[in-house]
Amino acid sequence: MRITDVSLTDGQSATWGGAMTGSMSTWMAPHMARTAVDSIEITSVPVMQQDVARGHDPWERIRSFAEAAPNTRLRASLSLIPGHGEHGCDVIGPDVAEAWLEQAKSAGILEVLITDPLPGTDRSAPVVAAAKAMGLHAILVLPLPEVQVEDAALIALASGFANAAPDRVQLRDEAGVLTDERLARLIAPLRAGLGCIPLDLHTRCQTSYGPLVALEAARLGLDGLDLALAPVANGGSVPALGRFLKSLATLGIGDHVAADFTSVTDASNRLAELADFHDWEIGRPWAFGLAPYRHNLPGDVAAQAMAALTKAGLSRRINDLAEECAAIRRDIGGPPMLAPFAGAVAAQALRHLHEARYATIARGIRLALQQVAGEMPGPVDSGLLARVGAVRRPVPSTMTELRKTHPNAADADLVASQITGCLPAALPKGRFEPYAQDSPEDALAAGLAARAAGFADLRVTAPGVDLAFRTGGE
Amino acid sequence: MLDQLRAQVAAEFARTGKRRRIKLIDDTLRDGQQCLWATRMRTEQMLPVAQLIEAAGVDSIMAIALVQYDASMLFLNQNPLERLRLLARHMPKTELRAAVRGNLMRGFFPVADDITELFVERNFANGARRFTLFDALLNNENLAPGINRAKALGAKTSVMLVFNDAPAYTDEIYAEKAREAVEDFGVDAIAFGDSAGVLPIDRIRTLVPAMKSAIGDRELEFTTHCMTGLGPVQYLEAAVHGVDVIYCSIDPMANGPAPAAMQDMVRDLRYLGFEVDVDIDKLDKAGDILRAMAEQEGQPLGEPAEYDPALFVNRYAGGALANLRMQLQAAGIADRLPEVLDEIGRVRVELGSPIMATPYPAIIAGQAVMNVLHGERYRVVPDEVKKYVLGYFGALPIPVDPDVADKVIGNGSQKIALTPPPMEPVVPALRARYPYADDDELLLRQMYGDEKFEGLGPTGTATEFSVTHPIVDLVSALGRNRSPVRASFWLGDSSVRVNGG
Repeated sequence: MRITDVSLTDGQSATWGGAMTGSMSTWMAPHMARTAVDSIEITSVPVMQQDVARGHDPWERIRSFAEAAPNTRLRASLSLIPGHGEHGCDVIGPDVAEAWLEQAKSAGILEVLITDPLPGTDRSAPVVAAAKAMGLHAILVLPLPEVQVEDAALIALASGFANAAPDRVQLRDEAGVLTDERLARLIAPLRAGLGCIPLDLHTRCQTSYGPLVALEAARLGLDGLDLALAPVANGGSVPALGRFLKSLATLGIGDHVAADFTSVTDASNRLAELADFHDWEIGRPWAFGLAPYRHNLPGDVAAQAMAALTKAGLSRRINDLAEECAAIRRDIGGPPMLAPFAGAVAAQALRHLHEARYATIARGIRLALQQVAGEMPGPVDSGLLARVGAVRRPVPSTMTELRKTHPNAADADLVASQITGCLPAALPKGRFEPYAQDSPEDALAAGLAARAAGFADLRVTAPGVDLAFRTGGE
Repeated sequence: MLDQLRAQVAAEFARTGKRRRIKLIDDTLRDGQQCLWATRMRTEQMLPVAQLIEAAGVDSIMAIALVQYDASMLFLNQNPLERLRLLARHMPKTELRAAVRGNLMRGFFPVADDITELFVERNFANGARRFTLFDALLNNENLAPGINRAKALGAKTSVMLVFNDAPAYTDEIYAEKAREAVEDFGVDAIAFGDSAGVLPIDRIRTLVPAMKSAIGDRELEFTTHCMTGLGPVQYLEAAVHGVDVIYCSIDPMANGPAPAAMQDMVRDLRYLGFEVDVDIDKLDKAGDILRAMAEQEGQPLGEPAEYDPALFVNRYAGGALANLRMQLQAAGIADRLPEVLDEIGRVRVELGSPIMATPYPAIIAGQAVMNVLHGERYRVVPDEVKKYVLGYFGALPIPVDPDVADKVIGNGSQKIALTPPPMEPVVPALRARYPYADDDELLLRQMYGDEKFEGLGPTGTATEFSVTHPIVDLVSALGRNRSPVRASFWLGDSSVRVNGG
């Protein structure tokens, strides 16, 4: 069973809101490389957007990690709907995707996970073909069907994905609603439809079933699994790698997994140090609740929605939020609850807890109603569509057009611009400073600064050290 | 999952024409604090919470069990019966429950019936109105004195059957034991408990209906612990398949080793279409007090657990394992722990797979250690093992392997009579020894000895304990100071001056 460590993408996005920088990832690289997992996911659309937002070159993250961990297989995740909402790049067209793959490969990527958040493989199949043609290992995402589907329909669904001829297919359960029982029922028809194409699994832990489902996947002989180091696992994230390995040993079914438990523990400890230094809360299991089965929000969006509910003192209304999410999703045509639709649905649902339904309409919902990223699986609400106004679906940009519009920009910038919504000229470039926690004094100062909200006036003195902190801007 | 469970609830609604109401037993002050705070919550800390629990409208509260008696008397120097009295006074409308551990009381061996009866009487006299009785051997005869006394007093009774993940403990066995309890004693309810939190979800779907159909119109109660993270699923599945009453703990004293969070369960049970009559806002207020109390006391809160299959593999976990490790270390054979654990598995099956609840883990471990140390299995037999096989603890639900029984009886101490001798009453002698003691005092002196009884301290009242009224907290804390305190505090135009001495 191939294990992919997604600590640096889904893990830190769901647990730390994407706060982990590229330099921190590189700081982790030697430790993560020693775990002997089969691959490490280093970047994704949200991570590239996070990099650009903090003024870092999104390609540098890959290059830097690859240099620090030269023998590690690196994976990148590409969604064909980047969701930043900038006009003209709502959907990544085939040749922009191909250019992205080339840039990713030249930076050090060997595997690519390809997602079209809308059903079907018409748009993803050419990207799969392009990836394979340039020697990349192409993994195609099959979103978990949310309702019980007859075996025949599952076989047909899987064979549709098999027709795109990826190297592997990943069954993706971002809402973490898969149970061990349901996984067991799904596998045979999916395998029947996929033929000899390996089947991987990505599940989350919102409902607390994640670790059990991961073990069931191993028991059932699935071919690959996404996991993360413990500090960025559980909750809205994927199951923890260390616990998974330990559990396999307990059950006596771990012979087909190569990752090394001791090195995983070391890497987890290193990541926990980072969390402690920056006062980031480490990933913890969430209590089981039924809401995820209704809202179907991906882990990172669910984490943000829960935090927003808690901040507003509305935690008790989680099931109301779930119902609102389901209703809004129906209104916009029932897209899969992946980015960018899930975030927009959650944002709109949160509004509905405070104000009359659709008193205001979030931008993401407007774009979904207008179907700018593609046709929705079901009908959109005609009243809402009339309110926002229909628009002609934009045609995805081509590299030729982009080169013509931005004649001085390199291809790397053009594709990064499409993914992040940032103009090519405004993209940050260059190497970032290596991450370091230099001295105990620096560590103390940074730690105290991060916890400044916890004290009003603090002075630390020791031989050679005199630190004074006072909240209020001084 | 949501759709399937909802469909089942909707189908039941369509069939019966009414929404089923799920009742709630609050277990915060018994099991919640036992699992998270090692039972160190003091009586005065419970009282403000108790008032809110009553205001929230829960159907019943599990107030006390033997572990609470032990912690109260041995560590907190508080009178457990006074706790019951104070709880009853602070929640006069809520049914208070006490748990009775069969005929074992707090010890290792069965006790005379009259002391069990006195225990039930004094709990009733101090406010308990329902008794939940449990015997680890599923032997209803061991429960007879307690049940009969409780019923004679007019209290309600529930018999608790505990899940045992062993092949012989089938749905039929549990249904039969439940039916017996109803037919033989007329108990008001059967409770099913999964103390290890390992009852598989698919087993709930067969076990609950089997037990429910065996007990007619009596209520079926359910409790579990959330060690695997799936406790809440167990509760919901149990409710959907017929359980009427669930034991929960108030968040944040829930999850992890504790029962599921009552607020979460109420929300999700309602979401499934059940009626649940409770005020979640009041529960949240109780939760706020518990959170502040935990911070003040440096005690942990409940944290949802990460699924760990080790919980299903090793039946000899937790405190019992820690004790065993220590004993092996003391005997200089710590390195043979894995061998002993394997042997525990074998001995357990041969002795009829008893539920691993006190005192049986220790009895089985004792025999396993002897088998490992002496090479020949059952050549050396501890007295407790021979007594267990001979029925000193009561009839066994699953018979002991006959070959093993022969070895145990043959190689065990010949001083142990083959037929358990009758137990003489102890209360008359107690009355003679303490002619001026009331029955509460008699009971506690019998259970804990004179020194512990005489060392009991006063129990604070609600006005002396608060985690939500800073001024009260401040004055109360200063009042507890051993040395004289002189202090002044100002806040805006207000001031507090304290002169101790």
